[in-house]
Amino acid sequence: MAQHFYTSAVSRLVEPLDRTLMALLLAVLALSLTIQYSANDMSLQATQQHAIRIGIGLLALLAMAHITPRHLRRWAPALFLLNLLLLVAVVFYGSGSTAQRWLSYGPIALQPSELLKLTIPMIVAYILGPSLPPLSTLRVSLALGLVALATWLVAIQPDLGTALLVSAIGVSVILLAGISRRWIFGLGALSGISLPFVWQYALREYQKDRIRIFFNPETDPLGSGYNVIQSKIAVGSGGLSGKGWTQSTQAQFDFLPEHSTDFIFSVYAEEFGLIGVALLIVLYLAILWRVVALSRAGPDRFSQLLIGGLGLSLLLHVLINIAMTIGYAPVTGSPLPLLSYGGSAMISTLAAFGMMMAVRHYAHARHK
Amino acid sequence: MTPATQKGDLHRSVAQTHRRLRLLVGFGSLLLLLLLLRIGWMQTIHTEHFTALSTENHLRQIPLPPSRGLIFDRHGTLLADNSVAYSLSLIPSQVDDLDATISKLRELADIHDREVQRFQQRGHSSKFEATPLKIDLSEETIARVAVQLHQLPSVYLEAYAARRYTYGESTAHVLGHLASISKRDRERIDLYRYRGTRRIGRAGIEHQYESLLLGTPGLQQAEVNAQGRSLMVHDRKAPTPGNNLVLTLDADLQRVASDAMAGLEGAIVAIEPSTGDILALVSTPSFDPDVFGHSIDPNDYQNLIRDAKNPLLNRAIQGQYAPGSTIKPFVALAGLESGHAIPDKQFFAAPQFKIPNYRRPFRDWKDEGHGWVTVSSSITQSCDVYFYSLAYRMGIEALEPFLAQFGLGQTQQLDLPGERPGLLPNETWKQKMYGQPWYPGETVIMGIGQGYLLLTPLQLATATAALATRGIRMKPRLLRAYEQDGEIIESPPEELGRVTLSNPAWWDLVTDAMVDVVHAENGTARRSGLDAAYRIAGKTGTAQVINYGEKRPDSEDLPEHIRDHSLFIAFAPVEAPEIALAVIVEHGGHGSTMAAPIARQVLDAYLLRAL
Repeated sequence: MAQHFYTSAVSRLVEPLDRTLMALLLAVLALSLTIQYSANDMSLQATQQHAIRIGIGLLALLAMAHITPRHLRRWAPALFLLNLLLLVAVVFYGSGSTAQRWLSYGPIALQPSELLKLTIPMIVAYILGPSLPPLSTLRVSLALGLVALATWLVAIQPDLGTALLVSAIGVSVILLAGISRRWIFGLGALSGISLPFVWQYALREYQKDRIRIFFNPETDPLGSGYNVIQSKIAVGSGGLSGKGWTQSTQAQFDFLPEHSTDFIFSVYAEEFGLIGVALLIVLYLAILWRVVALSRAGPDRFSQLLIGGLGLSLLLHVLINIAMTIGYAPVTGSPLPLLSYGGSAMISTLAAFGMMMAVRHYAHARHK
Repeated sequence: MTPATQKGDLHRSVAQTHRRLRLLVGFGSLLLLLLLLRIGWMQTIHTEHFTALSTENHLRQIPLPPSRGLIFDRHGTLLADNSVAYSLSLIPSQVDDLDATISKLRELADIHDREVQRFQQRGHSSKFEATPLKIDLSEETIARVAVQLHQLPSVYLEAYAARRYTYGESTAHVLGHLASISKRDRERIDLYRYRGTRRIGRAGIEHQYESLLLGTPGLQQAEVNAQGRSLMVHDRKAPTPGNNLVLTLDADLQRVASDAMAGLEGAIVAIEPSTGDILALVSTPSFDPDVFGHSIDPNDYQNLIRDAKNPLLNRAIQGQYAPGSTIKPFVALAGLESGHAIPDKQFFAAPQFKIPNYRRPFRDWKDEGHGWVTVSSSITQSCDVYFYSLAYRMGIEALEPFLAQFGLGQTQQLDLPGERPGLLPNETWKQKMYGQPWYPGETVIMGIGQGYLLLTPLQLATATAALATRGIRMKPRLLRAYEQDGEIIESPPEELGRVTLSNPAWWDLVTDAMVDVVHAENGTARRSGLDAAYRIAGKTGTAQVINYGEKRPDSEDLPEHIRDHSLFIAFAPVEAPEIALAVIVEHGGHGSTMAAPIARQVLDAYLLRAL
């Protein structure tokens, strides 16, 4: 009897979880643990730390999976507002080596800009969800305004990379909501016009350098271009089957900076080669298309925009990070979802999957 | 709007949103696959390129420079040695604020402005290598810097092998010195052999036998991290040290000779006639070879170059002098061989010699003339008129080829860089050089070693050695042997050629006359032959620096820079010659007063071992 109660409680707990997506996620997380062990000089302590974060992330996923879309929608404005407040707090109380990105409270360090990757899709979906296309100018303007505000708060930390990602995520959710061509052209023209002004007034010299180096990394092989050159060496020297687990010379002898965070993909590619890279990219693609499948029968536009937005956010992160490691995108300091070392990104990414699964589950539940 | 249409709109909208999402994700997937394609290209077709870069990154080949071969004299006395010295070096690329670091170092060590300049020039081209800022640190500086080293990242105290020359200035012209490898050197040397080596032989033996002395660098393959710190040595191949050289030089004799020349300008070359071994080769003024190695003041080098007395010129092989009367024994031999001089035939030497139809007379150094002389006594007394007459009768066409047999006017193939040929003139040369015919008067003055004729001290010494060997000309040499893998490899003496006379007795005739120069009552160098424990054959020479025409003023009354050069050639002991030499003292006046006493000192030192 107790046995039955126990199993039914567990089954109720895991009921909202999408089996396919969970299997894919766990596969990537297994790779993540494997490569982090190697990237952290085979330190069990660091690997354990990473495992704990994965655990917390999975708990967050499980928790989020039980929150109905209705609740999510109701909390969206408050969560977004809270996130903005945290960003403001970062400006005043933040810490970080070169820029202020973290809020610390005791042993917990939080990166509020990472949370935006959840709250931006939520707030845009909240604003644009209830109305059907053609969307009202007011709503689109409001959504754009909030995205711009959040982007600005991140940019002044300064964290240009995350700011660009945040705005890209916001804009992609707006695009997903179906705005008219007039808006698209208008926004395109606006960003085109503002680009020189942003370059002139908004960017700091080191940020400009990064962009310059992106176009020509060999000009400064020991300075800003160093990361990319070393990263390409790591990726290219991996060959077809890689140098083998824990055999990355680029990471172990410290030639490759940030090798457990931003450049984890390079270490992975060096150790596991093209076969490993293909496997990882196939896994990411499978996850993405599973997310697309989940959004298919979104019960309402809010849920659908939320799933789509979170999915696009994941896609953007993967694209930009991998492109960066082979010199196809500027070095922006953005992590590779699920693979990079770091708590905030891991937990918010897994929490996002929890949200997606919840939406899917409750849509089904309602259909029944 | 009815709820039904509203619901329909929602359905349509949900489907449209889904389509847009598929479109966006589809586009993103395509980009991701393109990235995969690119990575695939990097990891297959181009992987070798990246693998090479990766290996280069973490496996570093650290060259281990060989220790340079030592140089010994013929008795095993060490002439050039390596000792450990320390330099203060920086890796420019690793220093954030170079100026601040340098000014901090200047508080610790006495660093000259020029050293900073030189560092900056060098540091520019080798940003990633340790570049010396100051070399040859004093022990006190080493101690001071060592204490501060932990506060000075990327500043290193580097040990290196410094060259030390036991005999300093005395052997500077023979041994030469080392210098930093220049851009010009780089173009001709095998850079592989110079890996880890900073200096190259620039002059003298150091330059001549560079390839023997250098050795072969070893190699250490080590795993390094991004900071260049060596983590693990994989493979080590020890360097092969350079070969030790054994020179023909006699270090003690060299020192005696250079001490005898102290304060004078000139040269001494002493040869062992039977082998061609150079026993001493001195050129003064000399220089401190350390100026090139580890000078305190870089201005020293500039001073050397600017010095009017030209201490960097190796007068022994590069100085070209009119031989004066030291040519007379050779002219005598030429006369005997050509039949223009007949032994014991009396000749009346007037105060001057006249050529028919030539207005200007050729005067003897002895105003009253020598009276009745023979070929022998003309050598002993250094009678000019006899030799004017002899040369005139022989003509340049007989005199020049005979003198050429002694190697005059040619380089002697000594194993020392920079040897000059001197000048043995003939009609062809005159025509080519001046577009003029040879005048008989030019032959006349060549009979007493004046005119166009120019010889190096080395040529005079080798020709004198050939007198001692009765015509066997040995190739002069400085390298006697070298040591390779613990084995001594001797180089055998080489013969350059032979001067043969129709009657070998003429060798004795000339030698006896030269013995009289030193030992007879009427010899020009009799003062230098007093109390000699062995017999010397010699000849004095006084070479005019300026042509005074008919009347020759007494040299001692002239200002130094136009005073005559003083020369002396000799070999001894006459019965079995062990040493032949030539001494030249620039502006020293008469050969008998300056050069001959110096020659006697050198001969005594060698033959009596009165050291």
